[in-house]
Amino acid sequence: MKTLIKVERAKRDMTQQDLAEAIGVSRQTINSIEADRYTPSTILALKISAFFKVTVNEIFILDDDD
Amino acid sequence: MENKLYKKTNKGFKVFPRIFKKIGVILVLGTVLLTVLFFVALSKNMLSSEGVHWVGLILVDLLIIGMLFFSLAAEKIEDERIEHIRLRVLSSSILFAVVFTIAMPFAELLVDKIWSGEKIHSLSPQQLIITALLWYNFMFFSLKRKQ
Repeated sequence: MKTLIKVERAKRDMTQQDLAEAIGVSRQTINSIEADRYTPSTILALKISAFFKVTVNEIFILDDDD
Repeated sequence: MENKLYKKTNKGFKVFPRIFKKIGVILVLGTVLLTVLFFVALSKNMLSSEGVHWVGLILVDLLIIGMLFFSLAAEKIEDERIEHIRLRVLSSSILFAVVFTIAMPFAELLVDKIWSGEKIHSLSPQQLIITALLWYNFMFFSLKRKQ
C-alpha cells in the first residue's frame, strides 16, 4: 500500500514526531507506516486522514498486488 | 499516551504498567548479584545441601519473575504497532518453546553420548520458561527496531 503521509506532512512542514504526538502513536509507528513496513488499523488510518483533512483514499493508495 | 478509541474497540494484551520494566531490571540484576554471592558461599561451604537446593530454586524463580515483568511491561507509547509486534512475538515464542522442548533432550542426548553416554534428560520448566522469555525479548526488540 502506497501512502502519502510524507507528502501531506511536507505540505504542512511537520515532522513525524509532530504527527505522532497529534494522533497519539509513537514516531516509529509513523515511520513504519510511511516506509510501508506496517499497515495501520482502520481507526488509525481514519485519524491520520482526519488530521490532514483529506479522505482515507487520498492518503492511502492500494497497490496492484494488495 | 494512548489511543482511547483503539483501546475501547480492540481489547489488546493486558500488560503491566511501565514501572515494571525497571522492577524487572532490578530483579534480574539483583538475581545476578545474589548468584555471585551464592557461588562465593558455595565455594566456602557455607550452605547445607538442602540450603543449596532452596537458594538455587529461589534465585531461578526471582530471575523468571524479573524477566516476566520486563517482558510484559508497557512501552513508553503502547500503540497498535507495539500490540501487533507483541502478538507476532508471542506466537513465535510459543513455536520456539515447542521446538525447543522437542529438540533439546535429543541435542543433550547427542552431547551426552559423545561425552559420557548418559541417558536422555527432560527439560525443567524453569529452563523452558527462561529460554522462551529470552527468545520473546530478543524477538520483541529486534522487531521493534526493524518493523
